Amino acid sequence: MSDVPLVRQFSDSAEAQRLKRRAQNLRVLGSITSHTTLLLALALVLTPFVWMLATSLKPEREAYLIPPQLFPSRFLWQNYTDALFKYYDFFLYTKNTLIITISVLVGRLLSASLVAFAFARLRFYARDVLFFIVLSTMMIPSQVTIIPLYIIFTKLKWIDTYLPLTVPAWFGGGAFFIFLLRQFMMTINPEMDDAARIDGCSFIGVYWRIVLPLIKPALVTVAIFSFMFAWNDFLGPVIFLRSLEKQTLAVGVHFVNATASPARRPVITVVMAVSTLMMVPPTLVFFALQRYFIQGVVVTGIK
Amino acid sequence: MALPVAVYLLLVFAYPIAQEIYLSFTRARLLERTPPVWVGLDNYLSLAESAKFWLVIGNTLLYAVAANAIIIVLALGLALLLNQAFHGRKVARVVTSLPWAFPEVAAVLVWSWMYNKDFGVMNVFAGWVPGISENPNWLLDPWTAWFSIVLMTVWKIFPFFSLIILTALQLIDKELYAAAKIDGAGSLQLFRHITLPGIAPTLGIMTLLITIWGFRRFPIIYLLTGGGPGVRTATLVVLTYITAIRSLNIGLGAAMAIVGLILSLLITVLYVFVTRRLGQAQI
Repeated sequence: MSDVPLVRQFSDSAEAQRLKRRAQNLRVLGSITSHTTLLLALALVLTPFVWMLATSLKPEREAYLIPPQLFPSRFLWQNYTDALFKYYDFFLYTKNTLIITISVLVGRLLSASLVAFAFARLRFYARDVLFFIVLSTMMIPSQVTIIPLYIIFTKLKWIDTYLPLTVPAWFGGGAFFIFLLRQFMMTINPEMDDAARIDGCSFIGVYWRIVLPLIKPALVTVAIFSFMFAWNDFLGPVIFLRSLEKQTLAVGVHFVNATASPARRPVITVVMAVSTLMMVPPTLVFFALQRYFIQGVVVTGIK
Repeated sequence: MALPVAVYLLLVFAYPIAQEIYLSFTRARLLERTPPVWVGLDNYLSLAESAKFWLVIGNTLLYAVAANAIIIVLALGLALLLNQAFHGRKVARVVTSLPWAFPEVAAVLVWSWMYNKDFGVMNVFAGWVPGISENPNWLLDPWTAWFSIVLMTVWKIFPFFSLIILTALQLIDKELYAAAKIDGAGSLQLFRHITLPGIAPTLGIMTLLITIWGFRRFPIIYLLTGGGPGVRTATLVVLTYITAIRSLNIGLGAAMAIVGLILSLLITVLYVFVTRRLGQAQI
């Protein structure tokens, strides 16, 4: 047959066969390597979770076997009810943590976006210098400011209240968040604002009606970060709160670690149950909003 | 409009820092009624003479460099893998974001339990490594303590970093790859000339953030080892906390905090300089 396609003729040649086989081998090898690496990475990521869950469902005695066993002889769900009701004011701590987390969240979204708006849209004297100063505060370890803040809050008689943990969020909400929102606002075409201004909208109107709706992904990002930071904060509550009944989950978890049993030694199975419970809310928030979140972070990095 | 912003900056950022700088030149103790006494450079001089302090500075840099290098390499590798099409990709992505969503404090409890000298699961893994015959003293021996801290840090941070890189990867125009392939580019060239420039801005800003966050990372080290044995695993932040809050020596703690501040600012300036040089100014 003379009308065999040219490609076919070429691919039938011995040289082409050899090249094809080599490419295939390489691809298989590459795919094996990448899948193995991926599985190893996932194993690293998952091991602590598996171990936490396994321990949280064991009778206490089985947690102390040598060598350690993964599966319990029976699932002891009682560890969870113990964590929730017996050793530990779980609901009180959760309520405290939520009060702080939510007031921080609201304050931060409003004030950080307002400051960011000023930096992104308004023209004023020394704006860029001021922005650089705000940015450099992002680099300041919190330990630098925590001592002066402690002194200020002592003078204000705010120690052992939630005010030191929440009020600062209402004043700008932190450099990182201002930075994030400002970067996102810079990606929005300013002609929109101009049009609104011409139609008689005030600056605050532009902020509220035009810019805020357009930066939703960034706001979600700030909300998630803010939730995580407040939910996980350890240093703040430890330093500014005194009474046990005002403590947050993050700090409370460590009290349960110290005093969970009648003999005042930690019951590791209950501690692991508490850790599991504490993980649930941030994980839910994160996965519900993940899509916007990543978008918000990346746009910030690119622009 | 400038005035409110300036006043706000002054109040929230400048005042605490000014106060801290002032305190670093005084002998002051927390919970004492006597006012701070001006001692000039005494705190800084005693820091400069303290071998312990220099060890901690070394620890801080070691921690920042070691942990971050591993994080960046792993995160980039994982992101490149996750960017390929394969079965279960969605699940893999969900799994990789778990550590970031896991509260640090609870994570430390889990890891300390895994590092338990007698009953921890890490002993099982250590047993697989040839040459290790008995359980390592995970958190009490300086070298294994560092290993433990870095391993947990990497576990906590790299998945999130890799998720961000992954998103940046997906924003690269696919046609660029197609065009380059037609021109005969190999996969290494594709990576070098398309992928890397495409994610460089994200990589840059995230590296800066991770470095800075690394300097101030507190619970992982403080709750895992308390900076011990001695101060062998203490970073500047941990030592500052121990000095100022636990030993109530505010003046000396303030001096340490200011050193930390200067270190962080140096890194930022270095970052801005390097990115300007590479022609992708971020800030």
